[in-house]
Amino acid sequence: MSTGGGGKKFFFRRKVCTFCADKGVALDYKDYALLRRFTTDRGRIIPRRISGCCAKHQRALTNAIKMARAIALLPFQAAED
Amino acid sequence: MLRKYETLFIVRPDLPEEQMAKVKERATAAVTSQGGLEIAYQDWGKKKLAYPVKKVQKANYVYFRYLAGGEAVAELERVLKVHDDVLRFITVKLGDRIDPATFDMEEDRKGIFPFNIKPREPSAERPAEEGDEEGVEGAPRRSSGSRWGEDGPAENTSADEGMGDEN
Ligand SMILES: [Zn+2]
Repeated sequence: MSTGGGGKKFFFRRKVCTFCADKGVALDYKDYALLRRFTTDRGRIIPRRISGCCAKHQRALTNAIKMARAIALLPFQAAED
Repeated sequence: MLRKYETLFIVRPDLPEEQMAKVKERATAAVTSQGGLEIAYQDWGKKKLAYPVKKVQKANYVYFRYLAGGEAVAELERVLKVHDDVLRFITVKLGDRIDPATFDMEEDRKGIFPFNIKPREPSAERPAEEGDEEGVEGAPRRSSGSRWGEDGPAENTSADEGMGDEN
């Protein structure tokens, strides 16, 4: 039920990789606010086919998200609601 | 030649100041005792954890950046692991083959932003309250960042098993 709801997160396939497009965006595990945008409401990593990230950056992203999880900046799975 | 590392760790909230000071003392001593050099040690403040760690919901994030060799990292992690007030830590290598004699610590520190929240392009709302950084303007503020993906994901060690409540 939380799916369509407030139209909170609706993913469109992006043609270009966010990180290739904007070289200014650094991928850092500490930047949980940025990383969170690449996870679902439940905290899962959004797949490449949806996020549109290139392979290289998706790998880096996955890495960063996992590290952020390790230090409790991001959840492993949804908790609340 | 030394390497550049950062260790981010979480500490129990509501510790008295002197206890926080002790954590700092231990951590920095671990590094310096092994010939390492402190670049920065910052308390990033209390933050709600994404999941409880050892029954703790909120904790203090502490960021420590330093130049050192591998032994210093081992020693630091050993110290953090046995410290009751430290809940978790993660270490990442940020740079290789650094000559401490020519390394500009002052400059390097400018590249540190808590949780990477930087005063973005001086456009909208936030007027960089940290004030002036000499000659920035599109300069490589992010460059001191880490580069996963390329030279391999820089030796990252997350550690401290012991927790793992429910999630
Ligand atoms: Zn890319």
